[in-house]
Amino acid sequence: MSEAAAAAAPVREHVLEVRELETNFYTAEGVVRAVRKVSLEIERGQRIGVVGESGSGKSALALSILGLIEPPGRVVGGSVVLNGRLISSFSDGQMQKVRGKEVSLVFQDPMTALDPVMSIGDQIVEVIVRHQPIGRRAARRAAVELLRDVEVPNAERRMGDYPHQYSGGMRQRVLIAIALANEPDLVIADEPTTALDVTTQAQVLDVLERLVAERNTAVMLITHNLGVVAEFCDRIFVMYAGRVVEQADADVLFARQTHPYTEVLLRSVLRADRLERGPLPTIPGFPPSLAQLPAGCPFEPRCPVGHGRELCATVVPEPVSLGDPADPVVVECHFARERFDGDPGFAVARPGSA
Amino acid sequence: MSAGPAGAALEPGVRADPEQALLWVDRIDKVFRVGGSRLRGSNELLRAVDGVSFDVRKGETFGLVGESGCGKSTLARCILRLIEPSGGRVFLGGTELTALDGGDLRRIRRRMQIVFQDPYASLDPRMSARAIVEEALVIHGMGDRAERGARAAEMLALVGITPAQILRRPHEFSGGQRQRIGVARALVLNPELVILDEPISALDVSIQAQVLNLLRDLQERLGLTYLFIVHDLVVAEYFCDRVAVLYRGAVAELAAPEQLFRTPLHPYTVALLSAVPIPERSTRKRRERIVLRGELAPVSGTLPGCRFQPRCPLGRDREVCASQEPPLAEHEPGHWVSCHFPGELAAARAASAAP
Repeated sequence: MSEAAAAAAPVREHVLEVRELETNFYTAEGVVRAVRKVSLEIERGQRIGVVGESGSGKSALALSILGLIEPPGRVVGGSVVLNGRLISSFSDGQMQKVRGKEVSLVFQDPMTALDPVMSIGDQIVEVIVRHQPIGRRAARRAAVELLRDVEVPNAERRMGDYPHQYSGGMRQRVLIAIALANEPDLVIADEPTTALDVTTQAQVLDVLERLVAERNTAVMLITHNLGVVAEFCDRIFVMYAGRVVEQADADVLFARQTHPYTEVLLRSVLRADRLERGPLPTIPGFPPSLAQLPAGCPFEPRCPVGHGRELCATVVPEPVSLGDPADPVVVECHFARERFDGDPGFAVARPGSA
Repeated sequence: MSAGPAGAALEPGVRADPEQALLWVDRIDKVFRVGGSRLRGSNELLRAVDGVSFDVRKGETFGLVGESGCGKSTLARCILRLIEPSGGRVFLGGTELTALDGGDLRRIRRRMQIVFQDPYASLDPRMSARAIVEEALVIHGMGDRAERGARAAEMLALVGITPAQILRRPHEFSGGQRQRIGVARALVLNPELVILDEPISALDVSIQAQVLNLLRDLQERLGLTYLFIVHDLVVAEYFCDRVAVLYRGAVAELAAPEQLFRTPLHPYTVALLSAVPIPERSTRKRRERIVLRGELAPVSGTLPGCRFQPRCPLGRDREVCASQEPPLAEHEPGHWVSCHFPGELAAARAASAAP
């Protein structure tokens, strides 16, 4: 992009800006560094995906942003700015006014997120009247409308039903209705479809996609499912050992993975269109313990490119920005530039090609 | 296009040839009573498994695919007789399991083992890895103490748990390692048939690949036959020699993966395949996904027509689909389907996708 074009581009408005956020859990085994100075931003209406395996810190990141980290965990550094306000300095009382209104959360498990002894209708009404100056009658009408929006059949009649009378997919759609009840600017969805079957997952993603597009709501989708982020997200953040090790535009990332972890992670996903009968490519070993991180790059012990290199084993890589400066690929790898440029000396060997 | 010779004796996928079939499942039913209260009882019947038949040949991996509530786990438990089927028969190597009881049943169970989905819940937290694997030998009265210990250690080594680790308890292992212990426990008795009930669903993707590689390696080395229960279609395609897709307790389609996934004939299979998100960004940003309306729930009572009809993009408005249950028929050699209009939905999609 030329400088003139860059200057003419509209200033992007950020709904969320996270800077150097850091969260520790103080456990018997030591200090678990779940989120290690993570920075990210989300534009209005943008959909970002945070992907990573269990223990990569992606859920801890979401809870840290929302001020929901509980002891023995604690946010120990960094800042979170939502709609221009520094919410990381807010008290619990102030955060309660923010959550459910400006930012809301969709959990993985709707059975634990919903109150089992309160009707579905009352739970939605409750969220509306807590944050909006309207009466219960009006809130009730809005709640029925929301249930229709998320495609619950016979919405009016099903307002009085309790969570156990809804199926898993419908409960998840109710959570989406609750999350959108006050038209928030940002929805954080933590594995919202993981417990669901594929056809139900497709229904839920369909509803979520339509509703956030209609409302221009930004979404932070946290998942281990790379297929789901490929279909849903504009920008992808890959987490490993509490850090964002690669972030890029979704089209760019799926075309080329600059961090070796991203590449091997994508390759270990079984895909119908490229099945081979031989053994599957695997990532050797396990993710490092967040209480005892390696001295150098956290991925070095498992890395097909860096394992055994002294630089990788001893020095933590700094983030490197590559490609389009307006939409950069940011990668934490000592050989990010070489890999981005396609240097064959730093490619991940294909199985069978050795 | 007809679904097969009408009125012919179509025993779906079954060749009750003991030379070939290690497992033969013959018209298994499982009916549960639901609703009502404990005092009043209930007369609502839920047909979780509704006349399912198939055979599993020696050395093959047979996949049972379907979404939650389709009856696949109930079916597996009926085969093992962990729950009693309401009707039908199960044969293992020519012996009718459904006719056995007591000691005979216990003895034959040694020949068929199960690996459960959840490596957290299925291992006793107070026992060491070695004790967990040894326990099966104790139950079946095999070997003396020293022999059992050696056999357990050998089995654990085979799945990649080192001698230094065998006295550790489940919580000291990762999820993938725990699943390996579950596999060792199932294999220590030298079973012929291993039922794998969603063995990788609870694991991270990189670990899933490790466990699948291990299972395939063990199958080749030990000549095992697998009945693989899985909801993930891509895993089924990769791992199985034949696959049956279950819908509401019955087989919708049964074929080798090349047939089933390349040329699916049942609209439900087509919809399932279209719903799987692919980790890729193509120029046509989104593939045409069929979003099924409604819910998958086991059927109470009996529907006169096709069990998929209420949700079927093809049969929703067709009289024959609403009134007649389609038989499971062999549409092409080895490719069985239960549909009045096999292949029509896939063909329509292919036609609309062409430029």
